[in-house]
Amino acid sequence: MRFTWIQPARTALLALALAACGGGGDVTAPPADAPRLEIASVVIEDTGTGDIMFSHDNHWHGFPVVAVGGRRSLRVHFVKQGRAPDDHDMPPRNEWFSLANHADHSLPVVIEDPSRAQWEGDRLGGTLTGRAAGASRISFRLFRGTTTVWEAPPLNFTVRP
Amino acid sequence: MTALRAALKVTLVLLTVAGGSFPATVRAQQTQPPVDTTKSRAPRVDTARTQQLGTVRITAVQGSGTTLARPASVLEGRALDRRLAPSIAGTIAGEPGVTSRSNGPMASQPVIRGLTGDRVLVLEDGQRTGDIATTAPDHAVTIDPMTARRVEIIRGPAGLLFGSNSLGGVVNVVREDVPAERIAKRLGGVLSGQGESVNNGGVAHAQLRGGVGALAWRMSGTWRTAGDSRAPQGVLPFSDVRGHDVGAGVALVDVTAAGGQWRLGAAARDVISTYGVPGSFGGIVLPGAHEGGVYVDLSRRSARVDGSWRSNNAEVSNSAWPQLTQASVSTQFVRFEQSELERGGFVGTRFGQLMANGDALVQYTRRAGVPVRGSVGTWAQWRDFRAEGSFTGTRPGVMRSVAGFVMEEWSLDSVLGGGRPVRLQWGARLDAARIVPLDSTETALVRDVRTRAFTAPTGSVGLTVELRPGVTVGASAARAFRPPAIEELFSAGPHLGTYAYEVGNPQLRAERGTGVDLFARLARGRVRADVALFTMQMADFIYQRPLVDSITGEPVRDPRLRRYNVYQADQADARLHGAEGRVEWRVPRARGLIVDGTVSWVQGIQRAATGGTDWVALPAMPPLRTRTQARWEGRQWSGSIGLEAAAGQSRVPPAPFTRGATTCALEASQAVRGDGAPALLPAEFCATPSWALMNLSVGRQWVTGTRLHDVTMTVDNALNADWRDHLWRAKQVAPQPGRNVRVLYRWSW
Amino acid sequence: MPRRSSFLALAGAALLLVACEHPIAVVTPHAEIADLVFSDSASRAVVMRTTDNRTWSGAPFVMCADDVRTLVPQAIDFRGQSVDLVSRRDLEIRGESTQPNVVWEPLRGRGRLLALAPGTTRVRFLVWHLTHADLVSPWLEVTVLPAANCAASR
Repeated sequence: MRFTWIQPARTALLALALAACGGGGDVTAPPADAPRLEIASVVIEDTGTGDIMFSHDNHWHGFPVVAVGGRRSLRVHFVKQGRAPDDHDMPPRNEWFSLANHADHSLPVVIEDPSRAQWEGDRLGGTLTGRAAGASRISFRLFRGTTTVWEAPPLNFTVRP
Repeated sequence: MTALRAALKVTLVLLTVAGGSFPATVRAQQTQPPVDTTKSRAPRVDTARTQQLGTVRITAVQGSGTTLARPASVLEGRALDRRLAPSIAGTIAGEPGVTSRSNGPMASQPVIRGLTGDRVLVLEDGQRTGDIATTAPDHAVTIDPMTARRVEIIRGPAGLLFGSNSLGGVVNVVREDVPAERIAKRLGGVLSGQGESVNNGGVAHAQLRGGVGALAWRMSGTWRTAGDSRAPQGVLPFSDVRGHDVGAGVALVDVTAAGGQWRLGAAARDVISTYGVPGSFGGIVLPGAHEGGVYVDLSRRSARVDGSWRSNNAEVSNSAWPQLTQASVSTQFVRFEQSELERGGFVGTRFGQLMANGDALVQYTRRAGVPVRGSVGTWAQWRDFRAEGSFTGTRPGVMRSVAGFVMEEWSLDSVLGGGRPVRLQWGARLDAARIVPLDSTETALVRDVRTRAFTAPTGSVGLTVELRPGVTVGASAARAFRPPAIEELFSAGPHLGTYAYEVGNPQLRAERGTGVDLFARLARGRVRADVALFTMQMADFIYQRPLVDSITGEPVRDPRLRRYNVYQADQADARLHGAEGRVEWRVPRARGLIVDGTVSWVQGIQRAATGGTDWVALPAMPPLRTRTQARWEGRQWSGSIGLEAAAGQSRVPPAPFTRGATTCALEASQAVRGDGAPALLPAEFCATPSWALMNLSVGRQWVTGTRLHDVTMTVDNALNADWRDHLWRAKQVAPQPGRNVRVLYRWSW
Repeated sequence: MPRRSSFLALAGAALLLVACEHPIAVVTPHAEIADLVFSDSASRAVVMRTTDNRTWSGAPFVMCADDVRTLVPQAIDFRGQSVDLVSRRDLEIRGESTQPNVVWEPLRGRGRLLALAPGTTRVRFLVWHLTHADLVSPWLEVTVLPAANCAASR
């Protein structure tokens, strides 16, 4: 039988193909999605006092204070552009965006010590109500469906008597 | 099970294709002599640069004579195919006296007689690799085993031949990038591919060679990819790998001029690899390791030029004056770069190195009442090593080394042997090394950072006697030395991949070792055997001592992060002794059936850190290890079944801590609460249980025309046993890989 | 002859292929921070500092609720010489506290320690380099007194 290059090439390919058929389940790539939101920081705006608090890497600049029984109305904005570690300036307003046009996103907020304060709100912001004097932390997590897109560092706040 | 079925299917398909497609060719071949597959990979070497050790051939950079007075072994051909692993160390583990220290499948380093790292020299075609494999356990040897034609292992101090850093031995990976012989064929080559199930991995290898007259050329390349390895209890994360190892060389060979044969050639090679360093398993992170894993990204580019002249007259001179028989020169340049990446791609540490070395060797013969073959050589190396990054503990520096040596082999057959071969080998070497740190900044724990210079004479003497045909006994004694490595001298910082904070000791002296070997080789009838006993005394053996807080009894945590245990380089006298052997028996009346067994044993002790006359076990000493195999080698079919086992290892140094890290039990350490400080003892203080693995293989080869096809299916750890490597820092957390089905197809023409 | 000379050229080219600049062109001297010193930004008096990165002097640190102390952190090596933090744009001082009533706000060249509510907590500081810590200080006990108590004592 006349030798051709096809036969050894075929057997070589078969041997190499073994690499793909060993044990375990294949890892399938998740289906392509719409582009994921890129978030670098979050900006909290007190619609009553005009105070601005914003996150930067793992810390915050500005910390909300609410009285026991008092309420602070806070609007949540996000910023895409990251900043250098030593750039502690507030992001300019024209970089802020809200989740108004992102109905598939949600913003669950968790108070570390629920006895200190209560949060009620939606993806655009909410109200922080003081319950007992002291301090605690708020965490903001951005979800898309059930997937965490981004998480802010915890924000310290004070409840004044 | 799925992997096993798939592999069996593929193998059956391959064998069917072979049997079904070429029936006429196979029948025709049956009348011809069987193809010697061992030579399908073994090179026909330039014998002038070869040392003969019984039936074992060692190709060395420097050396002379026809008998090497050192225990050695060679792995090639089908035996090498059966043992191919992702690393050189994994491939040769199981040879007499040889095991491996794993840090994941890629970052494995060879261990010879209990010694590893900077004490075992890994060479490619006789030259140093120029990588930083010896500087830390998580650094890989940048030689892909698939590119190896042959692997030669010399056990015990081989400093005379190869210089310092070979107290434990030498592993020489022969590839012959620079062709050593003329190639008659215009074009020949080898194509091979291997798939393995334990990590869904695949390797492709191609080698082409050809020649026209005196011009010979060779190219080879290996491409490798693999996912995380599977252990019996689950997947070992951060054990994946991908990369390539490609090279090419060209030479003018056997050009006649000036009364001899000339050879001049050059070769270049490019190695790239990205591999993970495991540090967690089943969600449990080894103390000090990074939860997100560590990846190493390395690149090595090398080029070499070799030249030699070989006299047309190789007969031993009758004159007292040396008569030149061969001269050779080899020079090499290497550029190496390695980054250690944390989760998110952040570079924790980056290493860079430029290395240049060269050697010149002259071989001669003379007569001093008896025939004498000798060689005189010189070797020089320059190395510029730098590191940067946040987790950089080691220190940049320039290292210059130079050496000169002389070796002779006296044939005492007529004087002592009664006509039987008796060889006396002796040699002397002088090495000088200088380490210049490029950054002399002192730290709280490392002061007096300055240039260090080391000079030491070394020597060896050996005698081999053939008592009767096929029975040779011998003895050798060698003195070797090793200057401290730059990280042992000047380190001051955390090392990502070793889960430790390493502190150097600028006052370290060079290690000095004296080794004695007694060996016997038997090749009579159906039995071949190779047995060696050895002992080595080492002065100023350098080791990493964990620091203990004298007040609390707890491990000293690094001053910056309070996260890693601090280790400081120290030195003490040490002793090693052991035995290794191999026996091979061709079973009578069972044509082609061979049973062979290997055993390796070593014990090491060092003077206790507390001083006095106390001796404690050396850390990281491999346990007693055996390998038994029954294999059948037919003309077309071959097969083997083997058992590999290791005894438990309970000879470990006593734990120095009285609080803090006191338990080897992972579960107990996880239950301890506190300031986050781990309670798990470092692995070198913990015993390891015994283990046994079963390995199987079956293979078929056939010839079509002038083309040789070879298929081998190997099942490693066929029973999917859980086993732990005593030498791995993560052994309490992570097991070794489970069952692995490998199918290798090789086609050569 | 032409074959040999072209061959030599090949050999030289092979060497030149790899002969090039060192992968790490610049050797940066090792800068190891051994201790942290915090000074009041106004008076420049040392408020608290670590020793051998094991203990704090100035401990326990006492503040009043609603107090804000602006402190200038300084990194020093084992000889007591200053390690530049300000011009090193890749370094910053971060703070962690076990309780939420005290928080550290890093700024350029300084930082603010804010006492949000009365209570006792532990605080530690990290010299942060891009994505990881180069130094982690020991825990410092911080006591925040109620504002009324502080006013009475002033």
